[in-house]
Amino acid sequence: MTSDIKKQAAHDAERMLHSVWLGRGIPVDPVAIARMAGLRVVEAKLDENILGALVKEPNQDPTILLNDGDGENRKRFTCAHEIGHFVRRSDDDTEYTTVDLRNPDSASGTNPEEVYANEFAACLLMPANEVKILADFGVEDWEMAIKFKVSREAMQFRLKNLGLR
Amino acid sequence: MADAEPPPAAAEIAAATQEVQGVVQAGTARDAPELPPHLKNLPEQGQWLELLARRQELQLKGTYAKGILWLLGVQFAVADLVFVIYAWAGRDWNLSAQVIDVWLGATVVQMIGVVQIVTRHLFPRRDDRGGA
Repeated sequence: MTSDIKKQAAHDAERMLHSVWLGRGIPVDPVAIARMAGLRVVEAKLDENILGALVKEPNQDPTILLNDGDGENRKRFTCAHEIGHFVRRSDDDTEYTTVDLRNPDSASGTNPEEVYANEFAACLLMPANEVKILADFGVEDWEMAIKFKVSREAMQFRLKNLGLR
Repeated sequence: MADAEPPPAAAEIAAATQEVQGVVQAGTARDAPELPPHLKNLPEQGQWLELLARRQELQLKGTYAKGILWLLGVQFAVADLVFVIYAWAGRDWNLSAQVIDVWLGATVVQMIGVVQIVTRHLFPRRDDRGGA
């Protein structure tokens, strides 16, 4: 079940990259991608427990809201994560609000929506082909993290998921 | 599903939802910045990979260079040792000039040949690649 969700997320992220980011190399800019996909991306000071949110209101473009208090790499991952939620709900025309909190449930891999969004974000920011090539060259995880502009922890997790380290 | 972790408290989610909806509706949030230009101007992926390939080649050259130097040392040591044994145990120290010439000459040619093959064929000059 989780495996199918992850495969779908990887597939969708790859299609998103091909659709709007082809040839632009790395690091991928999730804010630019979101805007090209028709989303507004804004940031504001939020409660420290809130990572970000995706808000869809009637007759409005969906809005990704990021927490101004977070670091750049964290915000990049949150933005990519919210794009994942958007893609997952792209056929949902009703109004909705998805809030991501800084709690273990988001990362534990138990909630299918979060599993999808996390995998989508990882695949969007750290495309498998590029990661594999760099891994073949023996590039260290911290070097890759700098190149992809993600946290070292996220990079290590991605390498592990791809079976490269 | 029985082993699934409990979701965040409903009240916590409700409060967070209310907060983010309030921020979006109030229009107080500012546009999130895209990647700054100096990061967008990083070398394209192909150039990056080319740089990595050059780095890997340099590392490989270093390994070969150390190996060749080590082999050269061993080769000359063995040649000299056999030379001494030949002179000492075999005949006398008055070796003919012809024997010395051939012996040392063959050793030098052999090592130059090995180095030439490795450097010329394993690591061709960049300006030789694809050249007419």
